[in-house]
Amino acid sequence: MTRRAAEPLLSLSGATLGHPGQRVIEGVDLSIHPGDFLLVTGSNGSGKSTLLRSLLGVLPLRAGLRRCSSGLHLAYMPQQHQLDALFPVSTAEVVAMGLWKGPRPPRALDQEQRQAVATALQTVGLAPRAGLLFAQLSGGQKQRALLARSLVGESQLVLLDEPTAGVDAEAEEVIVRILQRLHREGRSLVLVTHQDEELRGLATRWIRLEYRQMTEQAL
Amino acid sequence: MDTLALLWEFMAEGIVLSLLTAMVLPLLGGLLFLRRSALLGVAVPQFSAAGIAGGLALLPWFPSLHQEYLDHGHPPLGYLFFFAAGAAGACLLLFAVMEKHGRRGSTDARVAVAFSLAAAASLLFLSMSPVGGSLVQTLQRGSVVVADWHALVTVALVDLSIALLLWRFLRGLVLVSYDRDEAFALGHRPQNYDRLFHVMVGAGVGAGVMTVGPVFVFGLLFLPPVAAHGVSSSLRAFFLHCLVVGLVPALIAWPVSFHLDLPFGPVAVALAGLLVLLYALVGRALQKR
Repeated sequence: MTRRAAEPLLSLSGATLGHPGQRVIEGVDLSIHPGDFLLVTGSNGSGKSTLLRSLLGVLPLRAGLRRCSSGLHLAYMPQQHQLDALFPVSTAEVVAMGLWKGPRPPRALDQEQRQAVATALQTVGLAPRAGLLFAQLSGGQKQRALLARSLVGESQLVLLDEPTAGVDAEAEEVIVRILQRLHREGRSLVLVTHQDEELRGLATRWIRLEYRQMTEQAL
Repeated sequence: MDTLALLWEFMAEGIVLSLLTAMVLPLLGGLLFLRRSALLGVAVPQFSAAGIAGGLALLPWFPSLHQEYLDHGHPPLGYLFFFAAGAAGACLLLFAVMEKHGRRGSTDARVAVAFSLAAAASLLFLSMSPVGGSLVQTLQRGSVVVADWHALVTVALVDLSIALLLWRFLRGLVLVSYDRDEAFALGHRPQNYDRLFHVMVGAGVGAGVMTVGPVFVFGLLFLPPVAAHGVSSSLRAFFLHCLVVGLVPALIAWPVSFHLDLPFGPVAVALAGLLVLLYALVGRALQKR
């Protein structure tokens, strides 16, 4: 249990999650520690994405407290259909966005950063598609490109929203392999999905959301 | 060559001023397009024109400013800019509030309503104004309205500030438009970028409308991103094409409008329209390959 003694990367205490005028989940106490691979499952509308966006901090808590360790670097992988399909952005630019931290002047990527983008694209098998418009990729390729985006930064915690939803078996296999690698490299992961069977084997912890109640399950 | 030399001799300030505007507005228009708010490009300049008309209607209340108008043919530029940029900024703020709190109705319908009301307000203020008739008519006709040294300095200050802010914050502005949650995760504050963007659009449109007129401003906010979108396979290419489709017509429109004795703004917009057509043909050819 030494791992639990370490300071959590991110925690919610006594939190009520939801949107203005709508409470989705109440009484949430959750800590993400270094090395965790937390699987969050539940049916549609159970509050999975609300939990993820509350952990990210983009959705303010209705009540309670969100704490994150100082200097925590986060990465976020949305579902590809949430992004504007008409945006004139290349696959390589989408991946490079993972390096656009904070308000800094838009200097061209240095050699090391270009290499990081190329390596991330190589890892997800999209190097030959780097110059294509992101919109021209298939659904599975888009998910892989977004995963590559979370590889390029030096994030300690990666939050993933349904990374295998709507992708074919081949793309799913690639995504699962990359998730395993990210975890092995020491990054903590929080993965939201409704396909718990396929991904339960990867996780170190499992939370189930049903009827807006959160319960931690044994793996 | 003689014609060009003559044009430069008499219209140097106007040419530089229009090129500065043509450098900044297509980039702001590109960002409006990326934010799926391109229609705001219709409402904001019309609000700005209504603001100028409102400022002119109030001019008799300020005797010293009124005298300056009688002496120079236009009131002090700071006064005009206050109303032009203020009204443009108010329009953006109004839409931001409606987007946040409005549960019913579409953005298109709101823009249509705002445009109609702003156009009506421009004409009402114009009828109430004992001094501004010719100035606002020039604005609506599309001729360059004010092109003296003071106007050039004012527009240069506004547009170069916007260019500097765009250089500094373009990545954040793009990221917030594309994926607000990822922007947040990377340490950007989306609301701050929204505010910055509204200030830049308000100031850029205000400065453009009071000097080169709303016709030119409408055209340069809309046409460059539409043309660029069809042929761009990256963000870098998109913004470069926006610049080309803004600057090239603004440059060519000067000799053309001079030769044909036509107002500058509509000529520049018509030329930009031809470029949009050309880009569409190129885009189709690229798709077929």
